[in-house]
Amino acid sequence: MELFAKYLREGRIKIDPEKRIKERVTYQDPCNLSRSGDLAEYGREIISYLADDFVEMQPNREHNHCCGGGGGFIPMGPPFKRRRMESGKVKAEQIRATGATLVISPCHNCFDQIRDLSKEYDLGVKVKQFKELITETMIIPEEFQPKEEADE
Amino acid sequence: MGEPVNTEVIKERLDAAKSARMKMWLELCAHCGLCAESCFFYLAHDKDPTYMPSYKVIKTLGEMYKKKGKVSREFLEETLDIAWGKCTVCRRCSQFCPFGIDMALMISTARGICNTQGVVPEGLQKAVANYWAEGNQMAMTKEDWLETCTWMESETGEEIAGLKIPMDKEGANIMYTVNAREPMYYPQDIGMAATIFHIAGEDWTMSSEGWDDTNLAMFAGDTKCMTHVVKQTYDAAIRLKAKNIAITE
Amino acid sequence: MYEFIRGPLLWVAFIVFIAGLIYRIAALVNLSLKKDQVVYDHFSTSWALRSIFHWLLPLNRTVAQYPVYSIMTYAFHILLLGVPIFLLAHSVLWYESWQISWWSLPEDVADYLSLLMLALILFLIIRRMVAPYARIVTTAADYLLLVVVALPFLTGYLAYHQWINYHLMVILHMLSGELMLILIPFTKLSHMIFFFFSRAHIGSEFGERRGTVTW
Ligand code: HEM
Ligand code: SF4
Ligand code: SF4
Repeated sequence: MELFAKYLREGRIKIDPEKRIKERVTYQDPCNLSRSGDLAEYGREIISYLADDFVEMQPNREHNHCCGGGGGFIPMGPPFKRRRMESGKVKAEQIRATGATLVISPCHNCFDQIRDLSKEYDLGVKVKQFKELITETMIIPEEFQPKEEADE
Repeated sequence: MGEPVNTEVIKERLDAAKSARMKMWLELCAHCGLCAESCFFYLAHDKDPTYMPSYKVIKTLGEMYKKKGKVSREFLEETLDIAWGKCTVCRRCSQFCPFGIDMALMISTARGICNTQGVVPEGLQKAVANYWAEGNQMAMTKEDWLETCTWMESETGEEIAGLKIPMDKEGANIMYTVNAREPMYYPQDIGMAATIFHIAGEDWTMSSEGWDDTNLAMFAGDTKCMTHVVKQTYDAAIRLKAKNIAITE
Repeated sequence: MYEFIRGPLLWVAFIVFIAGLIYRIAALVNLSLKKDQVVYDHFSTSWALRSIFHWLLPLNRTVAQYPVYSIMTYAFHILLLGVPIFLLAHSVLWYESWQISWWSLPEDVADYLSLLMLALILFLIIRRMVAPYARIVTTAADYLLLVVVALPFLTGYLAYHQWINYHLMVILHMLSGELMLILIPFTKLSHMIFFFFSRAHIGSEFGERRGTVTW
């Protein structure tokens, strides 16, 4: 995360302005990064390079709610799924309130949980990680373009 | 189920955990209830007070201390239900308690004690076994892991010229580690990370061992396995003389 | 009887109170040196002070979440400390005993404040019975301690107005005050000291170690 922010800041990776994200995005603070780490601002920094319409959840940063998939909940599997969905109600409402259609979260637990929540609560949101968004929007410099035109 | 509970071991663990902080917290709670609103479990269940943080701690760890470890298996099963099923150890509650009582740590302690008696959610138990067997939560073998990386290298290499996934390279600036769910379910993730590192011109590598940066053993409350997992990754970094460890999203 | 309670017993109460607290602190610090190395590793004075500051004053999110209750408990604590120290009748005693004196509350104001205090305690008791999230964690000891805290105010008020037997009330007043002092080191009332320790810890734990705030 910190690394990605650094690459963008130093211009080692450039985002194509054409490809910047137009839809409304929000950011899920993973507990281990934003509450138990001080990475909350890096997330915002990366987003500032990527997206035009960014809306914070309320509350946010280290006060953000847990997605409900942490603490081992996801790998606890099906017997606990029902409960995971019920408890995720708070997160679902938070997301709904932002009106976003894309949730960015740099945590695999949050990622899976929010994807499940979107189905459960009909939020109609996509979840993506920074890796995916950066690769989708960055400028791939000349020398890295595939040599022969690979047919799609 | 039905097996006797080894109260000696529980008592031992309780005593070991009884640090000055723990002692102070156990006494200090004013039973004021102000932590209730901080917990999303409480909010999501229409403010059912059995979901509030201090109640959950009192019902689990508090009870254990009160009974000096003499608890029944039913009690431990109930604790499992609360400590794993009604809390994600997110620590938000300790930000809202006027005394700053670290309730998540207390719940973790309760988890650890359940663990000594084999009372752990099945999924996590499996993950722990996997860590011991193959060093990652999904029990992915070394061959599978290396194969996945090579596969991603060639696939991503079709789009990005010159892309390499350097395995076990010594002295790299960054040793990149992933969540074992990625090679298992989302292998493209590795390709994407490779793309970013490659284009940013980073000097990076991945290890053939100790590459899983998750630590579900911590959530299972298994301290021995937890240390094993952390050590694996650091050992890998030392072996490869990597300067930094980067963790996936 | 009066002489005994006013003299030796008061001394006993003060000594238990002070020595008890010192002993508790020493014991905990000692234990922490053995078992809480991790706390010292991450201790940060500035984060600790900021954490205490934000919670001693109403500068945190919890207070904003529970405004009515917060006003009540702030008033409760301020009166709890303020009234006994600044009461005129007490001032006279302070002066008689040690020839020290300071500004004191006008008598009728103190009178109203005592009533207010009793009302606040009643509110706290009722809240514990009514609010589900407070009720579920409340124990008998919590009610008892509130009563213990209320007694000096109640008996003091009654004694001042001389409604029931004055002498009896004064004796009960002193007894209950002494009881409260003695209980402080050994019950959750010890939070008057440990509050600072525990806040310092969590402030450092989140602040120094992780750069996040706990208020
Ligand atoms: C000087 C430092 C003190 C601080 C910082 C302090 C702080 C607090 C806090 C944070 C709470 C919990 C939240 C609340 O109920 O508002 C509380 C509750 C309480 N405090 Fe204190 N306190 C102090 C002194 C005292 C003393 C000297 C006493 C009594 C001898 C006392 C009696 C109580 C009682 C009875 C409660 C529980 C209230 C209830 O039942 O709802 N406090 N205090
Ligand atoms: S740590 Fe557990 S009890 Fe505390 S807020 Fe998070 S889920 Fe709730
Ligand atoms: S907020 Fe803190 S003191 Fe109050 S009930 Fe919760 S844990 Fe206890």
